[in-house]
Amino acid sequence: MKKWIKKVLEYNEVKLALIFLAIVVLFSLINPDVFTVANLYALVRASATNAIYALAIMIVMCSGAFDASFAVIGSFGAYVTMYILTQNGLDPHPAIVFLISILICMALEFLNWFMVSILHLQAYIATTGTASLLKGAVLVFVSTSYIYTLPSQIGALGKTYLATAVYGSGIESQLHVSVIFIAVMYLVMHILMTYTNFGRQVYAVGADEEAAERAGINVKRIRLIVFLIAGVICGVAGILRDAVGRFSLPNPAEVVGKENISIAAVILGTGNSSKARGSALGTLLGVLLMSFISNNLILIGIPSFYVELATGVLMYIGLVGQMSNRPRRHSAKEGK
Amino acid sequence: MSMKKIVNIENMYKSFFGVVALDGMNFSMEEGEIRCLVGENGCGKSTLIKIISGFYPFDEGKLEINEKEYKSINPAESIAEGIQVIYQDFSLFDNMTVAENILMYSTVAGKKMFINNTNIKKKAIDTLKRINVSIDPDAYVSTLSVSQKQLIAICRALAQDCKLLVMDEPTTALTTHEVERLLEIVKELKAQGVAVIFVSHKLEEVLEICDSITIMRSGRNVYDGKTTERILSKEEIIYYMTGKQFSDKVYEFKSEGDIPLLQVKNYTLDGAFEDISFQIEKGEILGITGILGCGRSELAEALFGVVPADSGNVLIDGKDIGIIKNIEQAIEHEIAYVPDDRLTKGLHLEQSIADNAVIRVLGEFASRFGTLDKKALSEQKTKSLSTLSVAGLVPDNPVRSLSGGNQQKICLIKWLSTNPHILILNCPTVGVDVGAKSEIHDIIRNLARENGTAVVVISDDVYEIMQLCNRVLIMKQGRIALEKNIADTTMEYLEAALAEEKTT
Repeated sequence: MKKWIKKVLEYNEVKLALIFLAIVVLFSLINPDVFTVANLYALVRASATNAIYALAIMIVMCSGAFDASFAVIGSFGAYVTMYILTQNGLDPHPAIVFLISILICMALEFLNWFMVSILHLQAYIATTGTASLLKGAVLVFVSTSYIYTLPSQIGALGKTYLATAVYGSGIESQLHVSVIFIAVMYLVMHILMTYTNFGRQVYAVGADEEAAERAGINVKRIRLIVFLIAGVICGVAGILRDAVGRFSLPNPAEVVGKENISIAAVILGTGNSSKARGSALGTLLGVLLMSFISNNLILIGIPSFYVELATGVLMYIGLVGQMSNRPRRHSAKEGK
Repeated sequence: MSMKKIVNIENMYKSFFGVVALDGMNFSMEEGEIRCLVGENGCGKSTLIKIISGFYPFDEGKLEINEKEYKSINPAESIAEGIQVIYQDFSLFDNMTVAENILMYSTVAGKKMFINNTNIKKKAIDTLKRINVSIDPDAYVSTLSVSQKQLIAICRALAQDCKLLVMDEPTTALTTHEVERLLEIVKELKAQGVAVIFVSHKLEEVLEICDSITIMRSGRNVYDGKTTERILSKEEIIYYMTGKQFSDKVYEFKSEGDIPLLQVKNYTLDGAFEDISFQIEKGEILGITGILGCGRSELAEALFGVVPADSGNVLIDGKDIGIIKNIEQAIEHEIAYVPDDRLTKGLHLEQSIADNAVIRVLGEFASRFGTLDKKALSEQKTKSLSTLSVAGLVPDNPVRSLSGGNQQKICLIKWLSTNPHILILNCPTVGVDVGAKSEIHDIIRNLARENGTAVVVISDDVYEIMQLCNRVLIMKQGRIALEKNIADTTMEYLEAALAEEKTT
């Protein structure tokens, strides 16, 4: 029995879930409103976009690369899509809207892949370049104005709720349809990374490129697919943000410039135990933890200007909490 | 009956940017054969292996694998032909379990959309059983020891229906016991019909295990033969590898009757060594040997103050300084120590060769304001580097670009530039080929002879001690069991003394 517990505790996801649980309990003791269905719905709404973006950066990081431009790419794809549609007075099926955005984002992630895998540029710098370029390009070449007239069904999507719940105070909170997007995308990613040959190869490339090549893996091809998948995810996330926000704008402030939240979620979810390799479940827990903290600090009476500070402190606690079973490095003597 | 040839290479040429790596190489392997491939660093061994495993295309020549001719071959095709290479770094994936690693190659080659984790685990357990290894298939590779990782790499090759296993320097990171175990496994593989190419620097192992030997020099095979027909002597192998005869002359040392430079009295560190007493004069080269765990490395570290001894005395130039308490104190008394794990800790791999060579003395070239005297420094660089011959040395290239043996030389030079009075070397030539070894030995001997440095060489290689030292101490279970002048003893005697359980 004891051994069983120890083994389960070795999984980073389990530890993260426990930390999450502890924080939920702590917050709920301070303000019972935290532990309500209504608040859960609010959490979903607040974390929807970041949760999906986190998947994009997660798969890229699992492959041992990096993408600093995912949020900019997603926002760019969505804004350009909306711009094209409104300029031409089009109101297509929502699937078409998503598709256009996805294709734009895939093309941009292809550019990232080209720089990282073909030109062998340092991923962080190259994708930061992409981000900077796009941030400016959208303002110079497309438009600077907000687009309030979204395609009708995308607008409708923003107002589609699955359920309603009420806080103790009587304020209503609704469960946004984006929860389905999150659930489906995380499930697909989980299956992809855990049960498919492709997922295994992504982890292999992430662990050691040269070793992966020796194993007969086409590293460039795997990375290409990884970046294209990131493109798909960004394309969806961008449109979803516009739907939830009910307007489209270049470089939305809650996404562009907040990439670190998604990246931190992935790192929290990966942990640094010997089993560290990144997973959809870990990322989800990381996103939930991050969003839960920043969402609820106000509810437990912490002034809003403390939010960033408290988030930082709690992230430290989260990371330290996961360190307990870091692999012991075999010293040179043991190794010999 | 002629056996089926797994690999047959005839008259192969390969060059990189005008540098010839293979120059008319001939090589062949039969089923179930164990063949040792030996040669100095840079002789083309790695190139040959990389051509067989499909990483490099070749320029000219004939390549047949399983009696099928290939104009070019890629890694996937090579794996499909049953060729598996275990590289020195094992190429395992730290973020995966033992089972996932063992079956990784087949998972990739299987090209199935989904993977069956239960099946992977079952097959991994079967493979582990095949070489009688008990390692938890669910353990993550990052938690394993070096020798366990190697076993996993072997299992991974076997899980691939391997017909030819190439092992690149498989024994450098293993203890004597682990090497024995590995050799047993290799013999077991042979019994199962697997052919093995053993690339090794350690000639004892080469002679013990193989059916045949191919010796390479300058990109071609200079010797091919079966050990059943003729066993080469160590000297012959060295001759074929280097094209030079090495003398077996003992390092001669004549005492001038001075006060010993270093005297160690009753040195004791609980649990490591006890009651160690010896002395060493100017210009002496003293060897200390013993099996792993006899306390030899701990003694070396204690003398350099890394892990200070509990009790005893050290006399330097006859002056009692008690115990050497820390590294600063050791350096103050002009003691230098070259550790055994210098490849990981001893060099700044990305920095230039020249910078590495002078890093220990950098402080001497700094002005009061911390700026460096570039001109004097560059003279020192030239001076330091002139003491050794490194093939294709470009001082501004990173150390990483050098072969292992040459890196070792740079590491040694780095310490020598401090002109120590007492130099302690812990396994100075581990993983170095014979040519580089003899050059390193020359450097050490010159240092003792010309500068009067007292050198303590810790080594598990009796041959090296015979070549290099004028006196030897054998340590057993933390104590000195035997002391001999090299001139009065033989290699056989020392080896027998080492092998004995306990000498009283």
